[in-house]
Amino acid sequence: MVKERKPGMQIPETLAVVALGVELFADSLREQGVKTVSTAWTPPADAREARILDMLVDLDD
Amino acid sequence: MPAYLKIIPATYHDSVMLMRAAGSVKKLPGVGEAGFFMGSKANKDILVQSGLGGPELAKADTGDLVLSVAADSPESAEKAFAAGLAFLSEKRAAGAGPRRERPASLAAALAADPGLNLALISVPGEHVRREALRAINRGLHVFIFSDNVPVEVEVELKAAAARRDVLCMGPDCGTGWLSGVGLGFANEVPRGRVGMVSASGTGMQEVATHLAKSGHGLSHGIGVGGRDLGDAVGGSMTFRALEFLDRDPGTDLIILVSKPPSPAVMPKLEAALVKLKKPAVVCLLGLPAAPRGGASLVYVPTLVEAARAADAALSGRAREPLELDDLTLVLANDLKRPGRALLGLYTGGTLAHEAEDILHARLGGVAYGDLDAAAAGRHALIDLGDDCFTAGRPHPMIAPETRAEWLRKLGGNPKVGVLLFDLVLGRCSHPEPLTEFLAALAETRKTNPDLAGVATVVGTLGDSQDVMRQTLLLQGAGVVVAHSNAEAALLAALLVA
Repeated sequence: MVKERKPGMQIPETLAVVALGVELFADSLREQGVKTVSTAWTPPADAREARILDMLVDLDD
Repeated sequence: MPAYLKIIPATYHDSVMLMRAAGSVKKLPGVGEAGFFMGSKANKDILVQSGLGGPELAKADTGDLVLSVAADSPESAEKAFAAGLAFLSEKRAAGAGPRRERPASLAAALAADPGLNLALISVPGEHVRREALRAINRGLHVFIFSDNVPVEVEVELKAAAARRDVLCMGPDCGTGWLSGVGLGFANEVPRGRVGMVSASGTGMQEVATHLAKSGHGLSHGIGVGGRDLGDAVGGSMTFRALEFLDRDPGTDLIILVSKPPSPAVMPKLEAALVKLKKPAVVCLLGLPAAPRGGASLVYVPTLVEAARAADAALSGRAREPLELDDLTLVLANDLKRPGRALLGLYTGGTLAHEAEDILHARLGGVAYGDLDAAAAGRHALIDLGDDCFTAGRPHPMIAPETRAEWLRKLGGNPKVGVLLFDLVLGRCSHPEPLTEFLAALAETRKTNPDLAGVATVVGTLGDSQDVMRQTLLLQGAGVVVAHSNAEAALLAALLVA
């Protein structure tokens, strides 16, 4: 059986961006005509919520 | 004026937006200072130090918005709070639509649009892991502007990115260009055939703008973050970026810019560079003795020489030497301040490091990041983009008043003879970066009338600030503008030697 070779990293010719945090950077992408979705990101309310979110990310892997 | 405080529970705004809102409020009648911050401990400390704190400040939590103003009356303060909140509300609606209509998280954004392929992350450093890992695990490339991310998190993120065959640009990645799009602090440069890998934001900007001046553009500019070639990360992203550009049909030549790798990583880097099939130019700033290059692998000591070597390789033109031209020397003739101190006030970390290397070789000793030495009137070079100056406030390329403040504090000492600085233009940098700074320079010269100025301007004619307009403004203030950062440092050294 021939093992399929991974194509390696590819960079898309057309970017579609999700932005979390400083809105200035998202605005700059929009000015360049890049599809950009800004999230209503907020920090976790407390340490407990942060721990739960961290556990969910680890389960995501 | 007394300080007044308002705490808005569970309300998040980014530091740039808060700085602008505070700036708009300072113009109101009856209002002196204003500081708007999220309620982290570091930010609360800043408010106390600046005299804008109060006993209620202890109640504010990390997720709370803190508005603080110095005002002549409670009524003026209330007006300022209302104006600040209105500013924040309007600005939010103007850019990305009302906040309530936006996806609340990365997962929600991806559920609504599975075609998203890059996550741009600029949240506080302690929250980067979960956001970046989630994006990488969903197959997105990530660009992480945030700093203060633990190195073990960087190692974890880059390992995950390697498994998923995606980019992990950063943490602490200021600049990038992918497929013709500028990310973060990026100049208006053409798309072209040069691919860059850089551990430095302003280093990549300096090279890219010099390439643009000689008619070359970028295929991609991949930022990797300043720690990538250190022991912990081991060059993970640098090696993958080099491998990508080497097989990218849109790239003819590769430039690598970084501080020198750790001794353990250097042999691996040399091996990776020798294996490249395409010509490459390597600038490892501050490397005492560069390895011997070859026909298609050129080592250069400065950023501008990286651009010039790439131009020579691509166009067949002779490589311009690094030297001061006659006109600059004539202009500088009246600015010699022998025996006096040099004060460097930089916003670009790599530009500051490059200047330090050049100055150190010529002046024997320059205190890097040492405010006490600067205040005492000894040769000193300060990187105002360093973490210690940006805690709780935006980078000085976004908020130029930071540098203006330090110029007022340090430049008036008559022992200081020459002021050396950078001006980095482009997307996300302040639209009028010199207004505050030149006002501060004029004030400084009241106590230190013959303070000479030497600058480098990193930018292009296409940048919204316009490199030519900024250069003329500086020249109008008697500042000599050198062709590159390296040449500015050479000139500054000559003036005080």
